[in-house]
Amino acid sequence: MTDSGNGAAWRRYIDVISEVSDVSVESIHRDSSITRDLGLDSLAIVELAVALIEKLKAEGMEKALGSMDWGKVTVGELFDQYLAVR
Amino acid sequence: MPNESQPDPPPVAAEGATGDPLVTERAERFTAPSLRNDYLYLRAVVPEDYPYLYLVETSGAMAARWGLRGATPGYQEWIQQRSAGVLAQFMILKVEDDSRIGLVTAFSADFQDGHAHLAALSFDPDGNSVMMMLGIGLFVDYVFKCWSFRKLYLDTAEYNYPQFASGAGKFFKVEGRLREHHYLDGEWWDHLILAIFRDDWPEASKLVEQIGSWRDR
Repeated sequence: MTDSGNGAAWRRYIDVISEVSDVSVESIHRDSSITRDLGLDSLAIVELAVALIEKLKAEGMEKALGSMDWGKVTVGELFDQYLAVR
Repeated sequence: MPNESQPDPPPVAAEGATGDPLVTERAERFTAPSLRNDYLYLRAVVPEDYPYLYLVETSGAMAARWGLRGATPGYQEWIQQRSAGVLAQFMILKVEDDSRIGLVTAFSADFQDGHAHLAALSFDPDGNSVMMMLGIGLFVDYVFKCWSFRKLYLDTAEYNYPQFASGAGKFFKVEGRLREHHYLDGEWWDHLILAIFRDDWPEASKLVEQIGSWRDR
């Protein structure tokens, strides 16, 4: 699945999500839950947060990543956050 | 009895006004353990926290899964229990609004053999995991800097383990397992003994340091 109008950014973003979660790109969707569907636990979310900042150079996400309610966040919502600050 | 055969002890080397330069250099390199980063800070538990902690531990979302395992001791008994054997204990609070997000404790310190136990309680287990992990990271760093422990043990029932299992091999090692040690909701669960090693901590703590310094850039 691609995110319309932001295909390249979506692919880079999904590659990072896939690498940290060890879930194939094809199995990751906008409505996938970071915790329930991708199976990321507390420490894996810390790794994801660092990977998003470091690999996507998404430094504007710093504050949001630190204050998100990760139990409820979906892949799409996190991507929207990335688009808003990059 | 006279002791004329023993020589005088060697004279203590006189130090200049500025002291031993090597000591001075070491002292300048020394950094005090930090209890704060840009997102959160740790502060000691004070009596004003007790009613809040009592309610969290006896009636919060984690009450049956954490220390008291569903029991509700009297308030005074609980106060005595929770301070027994404690070496250091802090509330984790957010910088932005001073809200409490968790509790970290070091207890049962064994200074002869160089280990202690850690416990961590998130007040909102479904909430912000990054903040809680940052708080635990700050605390582990603090304990390793204040005391010479070789390893810090974490005890957990297996039903809590999935919350942080991905850290095995990176942040901690699984050192022991007591089979079917705990009862919860009609099932028997293993008890796991995890250990954070001082020698592994500098590498493991890099993630925590990265996040903690984001706002410093």
